[in-house]
Amino acid sequence: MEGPEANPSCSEVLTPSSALPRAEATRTALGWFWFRVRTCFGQGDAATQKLEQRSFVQRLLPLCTLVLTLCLAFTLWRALVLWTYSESPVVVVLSGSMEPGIHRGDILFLYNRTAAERPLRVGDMVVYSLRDRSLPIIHRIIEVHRRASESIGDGTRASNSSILEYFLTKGDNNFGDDRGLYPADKKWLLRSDVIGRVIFTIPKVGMLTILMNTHKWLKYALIGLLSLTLLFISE
Amino acid sequence: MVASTWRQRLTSYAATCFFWFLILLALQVALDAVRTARCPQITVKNFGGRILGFHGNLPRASETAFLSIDMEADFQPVWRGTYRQLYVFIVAESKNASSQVTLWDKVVGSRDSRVIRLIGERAKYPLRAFPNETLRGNSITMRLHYMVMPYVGLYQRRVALGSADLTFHENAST
Repeated sequence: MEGPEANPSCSEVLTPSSALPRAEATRTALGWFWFRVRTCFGQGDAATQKLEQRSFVQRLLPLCTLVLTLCLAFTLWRALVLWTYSESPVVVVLSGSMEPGIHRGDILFLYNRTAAERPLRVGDMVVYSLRDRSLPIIHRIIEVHRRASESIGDGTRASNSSILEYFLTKGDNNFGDDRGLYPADKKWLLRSDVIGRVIFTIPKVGMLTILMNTHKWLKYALIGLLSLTLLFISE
Repeated sequence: MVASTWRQRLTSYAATCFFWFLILLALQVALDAVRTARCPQITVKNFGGRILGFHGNLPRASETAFLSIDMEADFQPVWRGTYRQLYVFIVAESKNASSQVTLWDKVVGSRDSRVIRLIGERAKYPLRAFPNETLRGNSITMRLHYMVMPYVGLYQRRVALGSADLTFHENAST
């Protein structure tokens, strides 16, 4: 036995105008979307009557799933930060200064723990941040100098360590070194400027991030789409 | 038993395909990393360097040396199709390794020749002494390094066998 009359509790919700036959409603993409929204909130056709019998707590479950998923993602991110000892262990390349090895949109994984047996060396690709620049830079170390004390008179002195490390970097695709990018009073990078050493790459996956930063509406559309998917998937 | 809709079936197939794609990719990346780590070491032949010019006098200006390099290395044995490029570079190290400076570098892509032969090649980067320090009376050791840069996966760096020493005399002229 089917239809609204089969379930008295549903008949209170379903009226002839609000009851949507599934085949009718899902004929177009917009119709399908509206059908799912109404189904989620208990206004679907007879085939979805069981949804309307859910308790308040059961109806909150999709929202709980969404919150838990976000919490899990945040926890995993913090665990990655702790393990890599880097404030941002995953970065997206925004420029072509390291081409042809690293392209715009590539995702890079950073590692910032440097044991005594594996310090930063010439040839390593590092991500560093400077006080005058909002975005970090990914370039390669071309000079390293380790000195026991502060022996140069410029703005790079900023460490309590007995051994100071001075780095000079350059983009593979750039003609000159990065001194032009550093602040005027800074001739060398220090260890504290380095966010991490690049250890792993995934190509082009970060293009979505670049597109989202370029087109803000895409970011909100994707967040909305993911949220709706998580809400509907629990059905 | 509830019959699944075509949407559910499609989602299920897509999820399964994506899952196995990720598994295979992870396996390939791991296998590639192990193979790269086990690759035979490159040997550099005819490695040497000469001082072309020397500039700067302390304490007025930092010292800078311009070098030329001779070297021959074959990277064919270590190349794999999964590599985007090899970053090959020659590093000058001071005696106690307190300073490391890149003298020359080259990107070896999939279409480039994997045999590198330098004869009297001028170093791309000058050898600059650290501020308030001198190169005179010191010696450096040149070594060939290379970094494997795959399309997907771990970046690994290796050092080739063979090195060359170069000494700056006390009376090196500017």
